[in-house]
Amino acid sequence: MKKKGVRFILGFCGMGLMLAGFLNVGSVMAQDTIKIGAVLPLSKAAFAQAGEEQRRGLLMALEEINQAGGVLGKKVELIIEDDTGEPSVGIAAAEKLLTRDKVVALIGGYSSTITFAQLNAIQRLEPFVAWVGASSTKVEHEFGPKRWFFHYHPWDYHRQSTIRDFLLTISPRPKTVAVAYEDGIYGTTSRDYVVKYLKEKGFEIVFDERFKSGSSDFTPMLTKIKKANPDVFYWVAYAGDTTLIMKQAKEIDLNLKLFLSVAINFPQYKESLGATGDYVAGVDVWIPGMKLSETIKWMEKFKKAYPGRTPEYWAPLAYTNLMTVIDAIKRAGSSEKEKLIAAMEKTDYNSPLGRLTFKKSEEGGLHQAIDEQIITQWQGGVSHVVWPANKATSKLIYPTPNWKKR
Amino acid sequence: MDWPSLFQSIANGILIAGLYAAVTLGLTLVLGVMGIVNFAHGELVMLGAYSTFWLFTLLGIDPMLSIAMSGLILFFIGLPIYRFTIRPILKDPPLNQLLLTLGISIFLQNLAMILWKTDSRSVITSYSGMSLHLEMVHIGLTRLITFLIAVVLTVFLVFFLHKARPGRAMRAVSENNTASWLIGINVQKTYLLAFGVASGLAGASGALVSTIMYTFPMVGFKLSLKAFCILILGGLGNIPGALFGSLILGLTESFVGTYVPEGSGWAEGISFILIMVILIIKPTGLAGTRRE
Amino acid sequence: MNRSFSWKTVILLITLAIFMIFYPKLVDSYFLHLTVAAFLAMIMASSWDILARTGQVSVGQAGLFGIGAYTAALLYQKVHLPPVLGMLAGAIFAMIVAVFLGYLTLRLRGIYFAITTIAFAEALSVIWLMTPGVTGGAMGVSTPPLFNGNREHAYYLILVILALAIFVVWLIEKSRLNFAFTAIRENEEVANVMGINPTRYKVLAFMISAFFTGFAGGFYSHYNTYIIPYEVFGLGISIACLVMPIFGGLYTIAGPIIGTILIKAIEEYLRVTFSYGHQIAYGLILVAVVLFMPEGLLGLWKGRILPFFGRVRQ
Repeated sequence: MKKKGVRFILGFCGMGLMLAGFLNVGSVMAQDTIKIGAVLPLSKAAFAQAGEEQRRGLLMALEEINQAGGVLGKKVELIIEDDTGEPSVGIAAAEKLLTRDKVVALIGGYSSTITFAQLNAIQRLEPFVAWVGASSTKVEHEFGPKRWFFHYHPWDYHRQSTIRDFLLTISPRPKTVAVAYEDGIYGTTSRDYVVKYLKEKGFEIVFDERFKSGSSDFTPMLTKIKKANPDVFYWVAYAGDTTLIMKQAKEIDLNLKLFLSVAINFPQYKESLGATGDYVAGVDVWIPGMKLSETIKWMEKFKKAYPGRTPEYWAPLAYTNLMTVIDAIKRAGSSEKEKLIAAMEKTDYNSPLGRLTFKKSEEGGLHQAIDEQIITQWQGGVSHVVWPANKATSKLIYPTPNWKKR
Repeated sequence: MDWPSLFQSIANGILIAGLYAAVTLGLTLVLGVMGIVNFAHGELVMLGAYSTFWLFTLLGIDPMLSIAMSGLILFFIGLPIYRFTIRPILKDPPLNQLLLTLGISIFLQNLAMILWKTDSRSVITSYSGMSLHLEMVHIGLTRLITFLIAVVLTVFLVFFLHKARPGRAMRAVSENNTASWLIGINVQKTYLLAFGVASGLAGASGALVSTIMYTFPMVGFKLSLKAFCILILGGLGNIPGALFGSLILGLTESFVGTYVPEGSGWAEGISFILIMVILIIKPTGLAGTRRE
Repeated sequence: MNRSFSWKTVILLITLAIFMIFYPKLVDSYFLHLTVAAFLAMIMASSWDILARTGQVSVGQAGLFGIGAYTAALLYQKVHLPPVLGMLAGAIFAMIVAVFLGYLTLRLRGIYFAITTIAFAEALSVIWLMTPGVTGGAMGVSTPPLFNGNREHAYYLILVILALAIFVVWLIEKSRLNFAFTAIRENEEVANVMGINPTRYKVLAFMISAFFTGFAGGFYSHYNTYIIPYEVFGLGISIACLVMPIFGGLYTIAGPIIGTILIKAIEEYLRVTFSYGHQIAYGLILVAVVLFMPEGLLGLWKGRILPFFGRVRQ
């Protein structure tokens, strides 16, 4: 009995190894392409939307690049791996791209946790990384100072400093703020920074509580906020929660001067809220309605490639990600790492998100692409940029009209 | 004493209890009649929610009207599920039943992810966000309607079980299926029908879910856990128990949310903590006898 | 009475051991990582099976896994406890929790125990998020790379623990415990009458299971360098723990191992081919196993395929 067991173990081990080995033989491909590797979350429920959006952006860029002949006379090959939302799979994917596929650059990314685990595992290889994801300053502290690490997405504090700067420009200046945040890393870090920044500038925080993301009932919390009667209600949550919060705020007749949040430009916002979503403002990286010439051009391309879709900022961000890497390779005249790093540092690219260069960031990062964000507000079913003034497409409507008067 | 807050809390708790009760009805029925805890019940609710969403988005059918339609759709989905996966294992040890329904649950969750992606979908209607403003409380209109419909569903179920022939057969079978068989009740058909009705109830409550909240592939799982909590709170397999349990859970969540500092964070975890506390103290559930 | 040791077995085992020792030299870093992940899964699968032998199905192994992970990570963070000791501490702490939890809940029958274990893991997740002062909350806890990133050392460590786990299961099978566990699983009342105290044996099984699961958690936290509650207390872990042994064959030594290897291979294949919902395979596997091959692959092999080749079933 036991003999058979052992034999089975051996046999199946062998089979399993061979199976997995064969799966990866396929990655040995043609030598005369420039290989770029991307790790995206494509199958985990909470992350997949952003991952898919990134993929669309990447594929758009890839096609454009190869249509124009590739770079350095070779075609560009993009290998996308799914991290499935698990750190150990993320690590495996990054390692595979670097050691087996021998990509010249590692791009993509989304979750701060997975990013942290991945970078920890691969830093001994000192790879060239141009990373779109991760907003946690944990990543910035640990890997920001590494010369091979280039980072695009704003860090958590960038959002909050934008909120602060925006609130300071409202007149008459709001005095009291209620803060609610989802209980994950996203909410918690955001809250820590925003409370710090706002208190520094003299705002009074009259409510400060976390909630469980995915709750079905926010009325107890909203009722408490109603009692506290703040000028501004600022919350940090994912799409589903934001939808419910606004619906229920209307139900209990919560009226205040400004509803302010973070992600309010997700595609289903209008669908799910309709008129209830008007007057809500939020901080964002980019919206399709921005009036920059590059944005308009890029939106044309996007509409052709994906008719009927409204992009979230991950798409132009990922597009820019690949474009700037290829641009750096072109300027460097080579895909060799040191030359690539040097060229990347000198990036000055006109992207659909605006002019892109790499600068130092406040908490240790050497190469940060985006540090400025915008404030948008839904007005009459259209999302407008209302701050900063040089990017605005409309004026902020403040204070928000009462529910009953709408 | 802050009366408005208290009354609002109570109102919130009762209203959400309505939704929970609707979700738990089907689960209770299956447990009562067949003795099976259907881990996939939440996914049937999820499918009901999606069907309401699509009926609304593609055909413009108002969610409140499509409750009946979603219920019917799920009824017909439940029948083959019963016939091909549940019936074969009726006599198996509970472990198998657990694993099977768990497997169906995982399968359906992922199927939903593949078909409809993971974005949360929500329906807005002309009356979304409207509410009844009483003296001290605000009652959301959609929630109120949901609650009323849950009451209707419960009343319907009770009538069905006591007055309708198939319903009475179900009660007989749940008490003693050998005796029932002996007096000529087709036990298999009764089981089949019971599962269908339970699925239909799941579908209908799914319609309610998609109006009161939003739907996404995992919504069923979260609701399942609450439904299990209610089963355990209220005594397994009987309807009054389910109602009682729903009320307790709804009110507890609401009070914790309002009065405990950081309560909104704890409220969602209440159901789990309750489950553990109750089962540890009283393994037969808070009210009523345990069903073997 | 089986001859537990025959020369053939010894030679096979030694060959296997030599292969496993030289393995890291044969494969690249990426593959080694996959192997370490697979070994970790095997430990979880085998330890789940230990409890299952008493007829209790846990769908909350993530609770113990998370406890092990956090114990190791937090002890490192607060007092710089060396990783391996931290993992051991995680294992022991998980074991202690299991004793308490076990005595309180193992009296419950099948389904209700299962539901309680789910509630246990989810409750821990909520508690963790709401007490950031102690647990680091949503921000999670990070630790420096295990053995300074030396993957080979990590491999050997996990290999030793896996071997230990398999050895313990083998010991259980050879001892009176096997009889007790099986008796309890098949018919608890009768077992009681025979003088076997079901709760005590179930708690014992739970303890052993918790030890290895907790150790695995501790290893995970140091190896992956960063853990958050959502992940280590997640239902996905609990489900994975049970699909593998069920697929491979319950209540056997080889079952969980084979199940893990095949599932990992299938998973990798599906992950590369489809972007979404490849976890659907887990659901299909569970349903298929219950309906068509309740004894898992091993049962299929012994019951259908071997006789086909004319070999005599033992």
